[in-house]
Amino acid sequence: MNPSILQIENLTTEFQTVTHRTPAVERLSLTLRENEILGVAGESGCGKSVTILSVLRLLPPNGTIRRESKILYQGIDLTQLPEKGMNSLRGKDLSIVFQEPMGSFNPLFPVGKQIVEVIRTHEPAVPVKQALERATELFRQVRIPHPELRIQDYPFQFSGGMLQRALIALALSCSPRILFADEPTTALDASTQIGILDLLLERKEATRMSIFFVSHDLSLLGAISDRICVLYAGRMVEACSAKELHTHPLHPYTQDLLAAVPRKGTFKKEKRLYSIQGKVPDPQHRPPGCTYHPRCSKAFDRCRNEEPGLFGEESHLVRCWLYADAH
Amino acid sequence: MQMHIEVSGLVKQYPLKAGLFARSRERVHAVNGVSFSIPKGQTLGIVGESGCGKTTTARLLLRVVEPDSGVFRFEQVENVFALPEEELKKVRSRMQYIFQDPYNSLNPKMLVRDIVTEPIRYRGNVTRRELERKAAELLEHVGLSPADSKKYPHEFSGGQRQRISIARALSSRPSFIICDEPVSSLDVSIQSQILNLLIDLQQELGITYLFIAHNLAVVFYMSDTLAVMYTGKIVEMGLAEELYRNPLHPYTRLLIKTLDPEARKDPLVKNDSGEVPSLIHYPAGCTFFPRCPRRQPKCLEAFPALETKGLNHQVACYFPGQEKGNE
Repeated sequence: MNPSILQIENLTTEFQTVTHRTPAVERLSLTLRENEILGVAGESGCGKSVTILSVLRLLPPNGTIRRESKILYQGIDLTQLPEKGMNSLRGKDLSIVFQEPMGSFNPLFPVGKQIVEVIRTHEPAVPVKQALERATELFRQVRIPHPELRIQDYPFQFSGGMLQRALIALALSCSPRILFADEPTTALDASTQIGILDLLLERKEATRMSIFFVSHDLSLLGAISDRICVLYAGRMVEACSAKELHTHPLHPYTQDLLAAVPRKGTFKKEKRLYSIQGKVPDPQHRPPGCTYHPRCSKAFDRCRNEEPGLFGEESHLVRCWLYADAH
Repeated sequence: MQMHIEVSGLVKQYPLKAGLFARSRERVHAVNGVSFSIPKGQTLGIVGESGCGKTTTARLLLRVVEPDSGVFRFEQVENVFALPEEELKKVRSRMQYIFQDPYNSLNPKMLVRDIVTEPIRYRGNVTRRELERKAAELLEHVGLSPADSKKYPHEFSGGQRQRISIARALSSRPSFIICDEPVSSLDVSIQSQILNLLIDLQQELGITYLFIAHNLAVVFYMSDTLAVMYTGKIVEMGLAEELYRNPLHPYTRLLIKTLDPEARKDPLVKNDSGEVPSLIHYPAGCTFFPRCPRRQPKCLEAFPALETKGLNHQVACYFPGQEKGNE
């Protein structure tokens, strides 16, 4: 097993609203290994994006990381690092690809110029011409046709899929050790999406980086991840290898999610979709006990009162009272 | 079979804006001769990538956008496109539209009761008491509580809002509903609730659906018949199961391949350039030519006509069928 590169320990991130302090992520612990893709699954509001923003320390002003939380990157605790230290890591060792490529570029400057800016921020010694050559090479690596011409184009001149490739080129420009990908293909068409995933996997193999891949789509994560961690209402509910999650999902939430999505080759005549009742609880009114119990078909008394811990073995963890005995 | 809806030769071109006095002759070819029919109580699904004319087709049917040409036979009306405004109003109450975004499609200043009964009030001559009774009935029908009628849209979650949109669509007793990406803005656990509701309503009330979504597995699941659109034309159409098991057009084959988690390893998907020709300078030949794995000089002559291949299966390709050595 590869050595770990990022360890999140006991992460709690809270948001201060006018009246409340709302935890978006609660006591989350997970490990990302070198050259691994960790898939993080969950619906909106379950804390996927907040986890990324906490690691990169890009939280909005009303968001705070609780003091007992630790985020260790190669032994350094990022929560304790001064802003200057963070600045030298962001965009270099740790970079991010967002869902919306249009919003990630400045519309007023050519894409190439923006990549050059990132390279020269982290490596001021590199002359502009050489940085531009590197940007062109990156464009070639992400398979944008005619890289030497497209490098001068403005963001609006790219299609959605091509601009997402350019954004990946930007994220890869300083050879990151960890790439955070926040729903990078959700806004794209099916055929374009596969091209982008293939590209990420290929670059991962070529540069030995790790990818922290966030998505709501379990089947997509199953196809590309080594391990998957499922979040629900700010807590990790299940973590195991991607294959195991699809063949032997343990947590009722994971099972329900897999049953609620039409699989390829199923038609309405043949099989009715499983319907998960209710909705994701809003962070200010999370239910006591297991947060999933109001929607869970297997809930019993204990689930309503006591919060389950993580049960099972390191290779397959699950937060559910059903598995307490096996522990 | 008695067709509920028959559309033929639907065309819409948008003129490009030129200067103030200059008159532009250039046009965007959004929909280029689309024809289809749907039997009563069945679902026609439309798939295709963004910009292929799915939504424009839907809007043309309701005459939100006026078509350049085409015939739309609906129930007893020979051609909806030829109706004068007054007559159109009557027909429109039999056709409804469910939008993608349940946040922007409900007026935030209106009570839910007024939102769902607006189509009834529009036709006039109903008492207030009757409206209230009707609102309660509609809300119950879509799985909400009658007490919800005195709330505002912001008090509901995304899934509940989509239920309100459905209640509003049902209020004028339509026989035909256009669902334009009805679940793509919803969380995974909510999607199946809405899909199941749509299926139940169809079975109970015999409503005909035109179902548009970019998620292929969802469209295949929901549709009886499926139309694959590319650059404003239908390139293949047939029973959903037949199309899934025996796709004949290379574009359909590509789309179906993308449903497979291992798709990125498939040469057909890997070598796909994703290059779509300009809809302004619409080419004379087949628009899929640049991406097609089995293109021939003949394909550049004219766009192939939609020809029947087997029962309820039509394809627009000179060389339809399976590639050799595949599958």
